[in-house]
Amino acid sequence: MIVAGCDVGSTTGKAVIMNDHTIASYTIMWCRPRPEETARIAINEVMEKVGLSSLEELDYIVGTGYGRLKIPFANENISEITCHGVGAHWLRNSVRTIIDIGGQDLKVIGLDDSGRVIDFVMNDKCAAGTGKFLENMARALGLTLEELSTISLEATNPAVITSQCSVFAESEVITLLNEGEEVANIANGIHASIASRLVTLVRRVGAKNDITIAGGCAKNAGLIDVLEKRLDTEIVRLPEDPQIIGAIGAALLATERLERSASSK
Amino acid sequence: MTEKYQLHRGAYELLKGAEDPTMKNIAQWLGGVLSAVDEGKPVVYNQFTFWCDTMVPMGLQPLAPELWGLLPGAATSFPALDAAHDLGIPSEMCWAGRYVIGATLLDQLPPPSMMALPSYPCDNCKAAYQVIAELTGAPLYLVDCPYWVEDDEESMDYWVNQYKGLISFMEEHSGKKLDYDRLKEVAEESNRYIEYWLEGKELMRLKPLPQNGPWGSPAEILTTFGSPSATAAIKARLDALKARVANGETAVPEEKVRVVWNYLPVLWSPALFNWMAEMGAVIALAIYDWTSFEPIDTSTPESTIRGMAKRALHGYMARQGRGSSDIIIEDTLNAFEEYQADCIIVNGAFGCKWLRGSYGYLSDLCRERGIPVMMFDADIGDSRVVSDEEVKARVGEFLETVMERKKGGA
Amino acid sequence: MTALEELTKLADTLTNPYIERWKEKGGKVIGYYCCYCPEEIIHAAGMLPYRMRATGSTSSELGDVYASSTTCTFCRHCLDQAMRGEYKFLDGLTTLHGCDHISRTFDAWRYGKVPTPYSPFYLRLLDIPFKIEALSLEWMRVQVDRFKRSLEEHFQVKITDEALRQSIKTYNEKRRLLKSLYELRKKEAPPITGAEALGIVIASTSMPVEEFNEQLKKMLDEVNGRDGFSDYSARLLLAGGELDDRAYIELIEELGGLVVTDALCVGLRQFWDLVDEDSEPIAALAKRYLERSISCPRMVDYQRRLKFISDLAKEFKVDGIIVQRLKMCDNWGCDSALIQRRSRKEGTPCLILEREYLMSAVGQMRTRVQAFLETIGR
Repeated sequence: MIVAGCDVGSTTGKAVIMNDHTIASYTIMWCRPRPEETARIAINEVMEKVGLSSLEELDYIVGTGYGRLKIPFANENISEITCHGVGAHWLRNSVRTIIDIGGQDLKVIGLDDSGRVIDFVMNDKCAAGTGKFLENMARALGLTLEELSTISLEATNPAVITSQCSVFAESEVITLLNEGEEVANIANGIHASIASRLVTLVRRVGAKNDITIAGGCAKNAGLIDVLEKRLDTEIVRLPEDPQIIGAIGAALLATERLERSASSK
Repeated sequence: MTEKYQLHRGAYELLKGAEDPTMKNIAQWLGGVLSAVDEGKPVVYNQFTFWCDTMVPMGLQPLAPELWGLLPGAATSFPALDAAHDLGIPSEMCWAGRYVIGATLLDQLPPPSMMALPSYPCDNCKAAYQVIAELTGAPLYLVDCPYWVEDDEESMDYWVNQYKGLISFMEEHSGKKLDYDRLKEVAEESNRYIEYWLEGKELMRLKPLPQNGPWGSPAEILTTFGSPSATAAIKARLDALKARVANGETAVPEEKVRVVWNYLPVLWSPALFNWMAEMGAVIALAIYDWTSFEPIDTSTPESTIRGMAKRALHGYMARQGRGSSDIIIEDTLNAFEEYQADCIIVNGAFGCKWLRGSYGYLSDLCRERGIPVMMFDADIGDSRVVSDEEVKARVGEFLETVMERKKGGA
Repeated sequence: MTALEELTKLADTLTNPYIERWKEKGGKVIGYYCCYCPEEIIHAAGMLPYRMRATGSTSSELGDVYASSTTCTFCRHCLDQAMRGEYKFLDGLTTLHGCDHISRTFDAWRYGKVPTPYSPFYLRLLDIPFKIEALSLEWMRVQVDRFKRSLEEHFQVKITDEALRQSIKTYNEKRRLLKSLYELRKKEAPPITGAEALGIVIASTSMPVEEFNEQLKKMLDEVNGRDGFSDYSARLLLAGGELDDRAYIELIEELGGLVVTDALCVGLRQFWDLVDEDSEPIAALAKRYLERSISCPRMVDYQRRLKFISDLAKEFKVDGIIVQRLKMCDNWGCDSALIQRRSRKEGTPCLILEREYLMSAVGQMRTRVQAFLETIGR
């Protein structure tokens, strides 16, 4: 039983192939302008890695992510919330809270003991704190995202960024730069402002341990560091690339669909 | 004079020959407003949560300005919203206030001879109507509602006296006198309306739902309430609903999710509920339906006015917007139980600070009880703030998780 | 330390040595929001009224668990401080439905989301009318009376008429002293800055009134001997809602403007009107607190409010008006537009500044204020 999960986000596309509950291959790529194209390229890449040449060789494909309705070859589409829940719980069944920082939004998902989604919250439309916001801030500081992450750990006296609005926050960063504030302190302040937003969302779903983080920002050590301090708890790392949790969940759901239809026959 | 309000004049021409009693009734109201304007008769603004049952018996023409703005479609309000913004009215204010201010500036609204404004449900309305008073010079009567700290007779007396104060105010500014026989007639007619409304509300408990909600509507209570044409409109809707029940018709072929819709519909997206229905999600009830009323005792003028005042307190948004978070939370959770719903969706209208400010407490209780709940962000009347696509993405995603949970999968 | 320094520094911290001493002696402190809460009732019960603020807050992440993103940042930071236990010196809290923001964040206390030193904690919401007329004045009297009774009942104290009359006298003295301070600001070279004046009004709400009156008398003697400020480019009236951050006015004054009067919650509107000392005390309090000469924009009373502000601008000979409003505040959102419209008609330049509770976007604010001062400057 060979299945695939394809997660087309707003910034990156991810695909995972699973063979009887094991991950056979995965890929992560930058989005193309059209989600259909992203999906097509991602699935081709991931099939190539295991020597598959035709979509027909996949028994079931579940699409997920922001662009999930635009995946022409998917048998079904399922929201990334459900997929993240399924993926994270499968990787580590002690997980009860998942933080997902996407390009366009922040999500926090609460799971029950069996891994079902019991609650989820998202940030407000214009709130600072998304992947895009981090990119903009890095650009304002003349840094890459990786540099922003590492330099933040060197902060001696973190700057305070108070604004709740991303436009205002950006202007605050520029003011701090003009006032000669250390870049490390500003970087830390930027992470703290996102962490603060996340703390609110985590508490809104009940803040149950274990807490894990998915999405590209999970690789941001500076952010994780501030977040752990603010939450006063460890953020559990998952044993797979945090960017493919949704795609893994989609592939698992694909397997489940097949199994269910087999048993009902 | 005739070149003004073209959109509404067009709508009137279109609707006046309608067979459907609901449309016919709207046409009657529009025609009333337009002829009052053309003939220089007084027009009384009744803010969109304030019923018109005191104006009708005095022969005064009510005009709920927010409804006027929605009638030709919310998108026609954009120039008014921009005009309000130019005056310095912040964009985070509710659409309702911004529209009425902007439409006043652009002369898109028939100017008021006087205005009746309850102190509920929010800051937006009190703030915006003061701007309108300053812009138009029209006298404004605030019908001041107690916060209901204590549900006592003294509070009720204060409120009833405010109602009486409004009647004197309208008498003073129109030169007309309230005829108590006429008041009694209107009150009795409105009692009949409420009876039909309650009957329909009960039918909406059926599972599967016979017809997609919401059942209640502000269309008559703001425009012609207490007139036979208002009652005819709801009677026709009730008969249609009953026929569906008798024939075993249902809102959707397969009812997958029953939703308690907390708050108003998204006013700029009347199609949203149809879109949800295509997913198998039905609206059991929305804020228009969360209430119950006692019939007005029309034995004396005093009892009639008291009954009207008391009833007004339980209208949509009046009930939930005049006190602490207790009422909206209780109403939402009760509706969830009584209507055997699967989830609660909160239309987190940006301008509605009191609604959004109660969500955190509601979601705590929902989590404790295992009730799926979600609030999405949108402006209530301006589709440019959060797009149709974004709203659907959020609502759709939530409905999917609810369905997934119901399946027992995942 | 001068009395001026002694008073103004109280604005920079949430609590202070006066409150600590009061508590050590076993005194009780009742927090209140909004200038519609009759301080005299709390004082006559032998307790210390404390006007709520969130001084020292750096984030609202805890408060935001319950507050929404469209709740104003003042309420969000206050709730955050409350949930962190920063108001542990309070023995009770009272507010009114001043606006949708405060009513909803007050619910967090009612629902037990805020840690309190004892339970059930004294919480009281005053039902203050939104209009001024005979009926609402009577309703206000009932409310003040109910407030008094609820304090008596909860704390098992007796608030006598005599104590009330004495409290009214003491608070009237405070008001007269503060008014005489504002009188000095009418001078061509006012002896105090707007930032200092704000600090003093904050102090008046954060310490025992008797001690405040003593300090203020000393301070008035001090500033009378001081050289006034004359090197300003414009005399300003600062209007708006909640503002308890001296640094905000300092920024305006660093740029050359001098705030000589205000229409702020924690400012002139807190103390301007006296209570009639000869009438029945509850009725006198109701009248003063409801019928005050300048209302909060929560009141449907815009005509009097606009007139008061334009008269005030003339009386203090200001060159311009700045209205600061917290983002998300609908009441000030509309009022600021009305003030601007009216003052432009009357030829007084007016700038509206949107802000958040913590100073932010300072660069942007500096540019706007500087440009405003350049256009109106002498």
